[in-house]
Amino acid sequence: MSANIRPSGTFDTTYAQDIALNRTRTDKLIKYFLMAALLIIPLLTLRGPFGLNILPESIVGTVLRIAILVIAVQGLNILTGYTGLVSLGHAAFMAVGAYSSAILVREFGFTFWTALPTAALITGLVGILFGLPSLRVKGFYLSMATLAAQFIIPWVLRYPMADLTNGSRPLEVPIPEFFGLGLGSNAAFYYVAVPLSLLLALAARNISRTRTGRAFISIRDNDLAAELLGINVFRYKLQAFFLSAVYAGIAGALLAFESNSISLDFFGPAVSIEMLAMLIIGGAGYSLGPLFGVGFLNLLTQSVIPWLIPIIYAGLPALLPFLEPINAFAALNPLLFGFALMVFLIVEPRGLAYRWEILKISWKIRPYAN
Amino acid sequence: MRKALLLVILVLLVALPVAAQEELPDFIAESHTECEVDLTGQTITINHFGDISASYAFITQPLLVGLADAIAFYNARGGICGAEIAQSNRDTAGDPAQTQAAYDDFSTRADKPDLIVLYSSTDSELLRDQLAEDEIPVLISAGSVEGLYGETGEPGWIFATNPLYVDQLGSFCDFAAANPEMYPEPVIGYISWPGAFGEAAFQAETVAYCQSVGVEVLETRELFLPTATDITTNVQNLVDSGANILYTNSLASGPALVAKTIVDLGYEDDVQLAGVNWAIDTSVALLGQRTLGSDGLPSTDGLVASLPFRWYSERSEPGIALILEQAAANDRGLTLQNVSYILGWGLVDQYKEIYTRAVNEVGSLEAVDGAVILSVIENIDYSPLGLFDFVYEEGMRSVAGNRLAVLKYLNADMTGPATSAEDALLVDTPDGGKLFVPLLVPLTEFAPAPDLRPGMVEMEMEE
Repeated sequence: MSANIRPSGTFDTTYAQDIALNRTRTDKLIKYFLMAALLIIPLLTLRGPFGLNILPESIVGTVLRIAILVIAVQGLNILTGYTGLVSLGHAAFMAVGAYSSAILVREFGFTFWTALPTAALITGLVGILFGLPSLRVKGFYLSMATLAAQFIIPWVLRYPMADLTNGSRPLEVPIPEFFGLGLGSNAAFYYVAVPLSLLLALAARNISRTRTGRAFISIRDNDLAAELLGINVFRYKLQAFFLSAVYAGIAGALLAFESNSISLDFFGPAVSIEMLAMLIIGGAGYSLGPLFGVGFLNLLTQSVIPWLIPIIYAGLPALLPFLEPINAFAALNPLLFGFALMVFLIVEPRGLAYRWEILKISWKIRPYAN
Repeated sequence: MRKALLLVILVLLVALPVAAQEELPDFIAESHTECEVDLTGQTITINHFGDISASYAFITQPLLVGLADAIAFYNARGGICGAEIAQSNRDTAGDPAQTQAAYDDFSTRADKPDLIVLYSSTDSELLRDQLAEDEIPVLISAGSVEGLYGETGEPGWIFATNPLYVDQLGSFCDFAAANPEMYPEPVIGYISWPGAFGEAAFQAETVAYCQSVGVEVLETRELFLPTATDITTNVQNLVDSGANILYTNSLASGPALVAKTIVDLGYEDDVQLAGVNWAIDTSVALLGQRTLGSDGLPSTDGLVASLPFRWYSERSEPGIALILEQAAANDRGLTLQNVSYILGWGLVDQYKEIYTRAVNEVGSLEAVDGAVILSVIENIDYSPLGLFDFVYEEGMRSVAGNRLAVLKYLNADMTGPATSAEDALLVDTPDGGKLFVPLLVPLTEFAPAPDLRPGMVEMEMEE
C-alpha cells in the first residue's frame, strides 16, 4: 500500500521492486528487530527461564491474545479489506475452528498439531458454504447473509451437536503438547501462537501480491469491471470466503487451546461486530490494519478502562453527585468503544494503518512534510 | 494555666482518633477469631472480577455496593486486625475472553492475590484448572458441578458460598415430595438460560434423584436467551408435555419472563414457578411487577425457590438488622437491597475471619499465600454475620445448608403477605409510580441439601 503514497520522484524500475515486501534495508531491519523483540517478551518476565523482571508477567497473555485475534481479523481483512465483502459472521467461523479442533482431539485422538490444520480446513469449507449467497447478492444483503452464519452455526453447535460440544456449556479442551512438553502456560503457548500469527500475517500480505490477491482487489474496487476483464468473480469470492474462514478457524482453534475451555459465549454476534470495528479502526485493506485495530481496542479495554475506573470512582461523586460510580463499569466499555469507532469513521475512515503510512512518508520526505 | 490548656489539647488530639474508631457490634466480635498479629498499616484487598455490565449486572452492581458499604463499616472498626480493607474490581461484561484477560492480569501481579471473588459459573468453569495451577483459592456465589469439581469430580480451589445448583433442585424435589397437598402429582419442566449457569441444575443425577423421591422431571428441557422477550412456545411445550411445575435456573429477567408467560397463557392456577436461589431475588420481585395476575398481584407472587441465607424480612437476626441499618444510613434504595448486597456484607466478614485465621497461623500477612488460605477455608466453620453456615464437609466445595421460601408481597397492614391487590401495600416510587413490596416467607428450616454431585446419587439412593 505504501507504493501509493511514496514521495514524488521515488518510483520502481522493476516488477520485483514493485511487489517487494521490504523496500529498504532499514524497513527490513526494523521488521526483524520488532519480530525478535516480540519473541523475547516471555524471556523478560519473572516467570521466564531467566527469572528477569523487566516486563510485567501479564504482557505475555495480552500479546498472546492479541496475536490470536490478529489472525482472525487478518482473515476478515482478506474478505472485507481486500475483496470488499462485509462479513458479520466471522466469530461463528471462529467457533467452527474452536469446536472442531477440540472435538478432533477429544473424540478422535488427533494431536493439537494435526487438529489445527484439519480444523482450519473444516472451517474453510463451512466458509465456502456461507459464501455461496455471494453469487446472487452483494453489499448490505450479503452482510445479512453472513449474519445468518452467526445464528445457524451456534444453533448447530448448541443443539444437534450437543453430545460432542457440550451444548451451551463450556467444553474442556486438553492441554496441547510438543514432544511430550505441555504447552499449558501462556509463555509456552506464546511460542505457538505468536510465530503463527506472524507467519499468517505474512501470508495475508503475500496474498495481495498474487494473481488471486489482485483479483480480490479488482472485485472490491469494481466487480463489474473485474468480470469484464475475465475474472471469475464468483470463484474468487468463494476463495476469499474460504481463506477468511481458514484464518478464523485457526484463530478459533488457538483460542480453544489457549484457554483450555470453550463455550459459545466466546463467539457471540458482538464479537463479530467488534472484529469488524477493529478492522475499520486499524485500516481495512492494509496488512497492518488488523494489528493496529486489535492492538488499539485491546489497549482501550485492558489498560485505559481499568486505569480510568479508580479515577472515576474517586472523582465522580464530587463532579456529578447524581451518578452512581458503580455505573461507570457498565458505561465505559460501550461508550469508549462506540466513541472510538465514530471518531475513526468520521476523522480517519482509512484507519490507523493509513495514518501510519502517512507518518512514514512524512519521515522520509522531512523536512518537506506538512 | 496556658501550659495546662496546651496539655489538655495535646491529650485530646492524641485521644480523639482512638476514640473515633468505633467498636464492632458484640455479635460480630464474638463470632470472630481473636487477632494474634497486629496488621496496622497494611492493606488486604478484595479482588473481584466478573460481569458488572451485562446480564449479571442486576446482581453484581448491588454486590459492589454491598462490598463498599461493608468495607467502610469494617474499616471504621479496625479493619482486619488493624489492616485496611480495600476492593479491586474489574468488569468482564460476561465475555470469556475478557475474563481470561482479567485473570491473567490478577494472577500475574507482583502481589498475586491469595484469594479472589468470582460470580459466574461460566467463569468458574473457564478458570478452574488455571486457579488450581496458580494455587489461588476463589470464593464464588455460584454452584455448577463442572466449576467446582471439573469433569473428573476432583475438588478444586473454588468454594461456593451457596449450595450446588443440582443440590438446590434436589431440595425442591424433596419439598415437592413432602407436600402432596400442594403438589399432588409433581412434574417438573426445566426452563432456563443456555450456558454454564442456566443449565447447571439439569443433570442426570438430579433427574434420577427427583424420580427416586417421586417427582418426575421431564427429559426435554427448554432454553431461552437472556435477551428473549417471548417464550410462549417454550412454556407451552413444557405444559403440553405434562409439566405442572416450571423450574428455572436463571436470574433477574429470566424468572420474571417465565412468570409473565405463565400469567399470559392463563396457567396461574395450574403451574407453579420454582427456581434457584437467584430466582427469588429482589430484582425478580421488582421485574415481576410489570405483569399482574388475575388477583392483581405481580406475576411472580408465589414463586418458590431456595433461600440458603438469611433475608431482609428476618429483622430479628442481628446480621440482617445491621445490614438494613447500614443500607438506610447509606441511602441504598430498594433496588440495591437484593441478595448480593447481603452477600457483599457476608463476603467482607468472611475475609475478616479467613485472613485473621491465616495470619494467626503463619505469623504475618506477607507469609499468607493461596495454600494457607485454602487450608483455612477447608477447615473453617463459622457463620458470617449469621447469614449462613460457612462450612465445607470433607471434599465438598459448596455449603450444604439450604431452605425453601416463597416470594410474596406485603399486605397493607404490614403483618404478612397480601392475598390480593386490594390488601397489598403499595409504596410510591420517585417517578410517581406504585410498587408492591416484596416479602420472602421461608417454607422450610435450614437443612443440608441432598448431595447430588456425580457419583453421589447412587449412595444417596442406596441409603
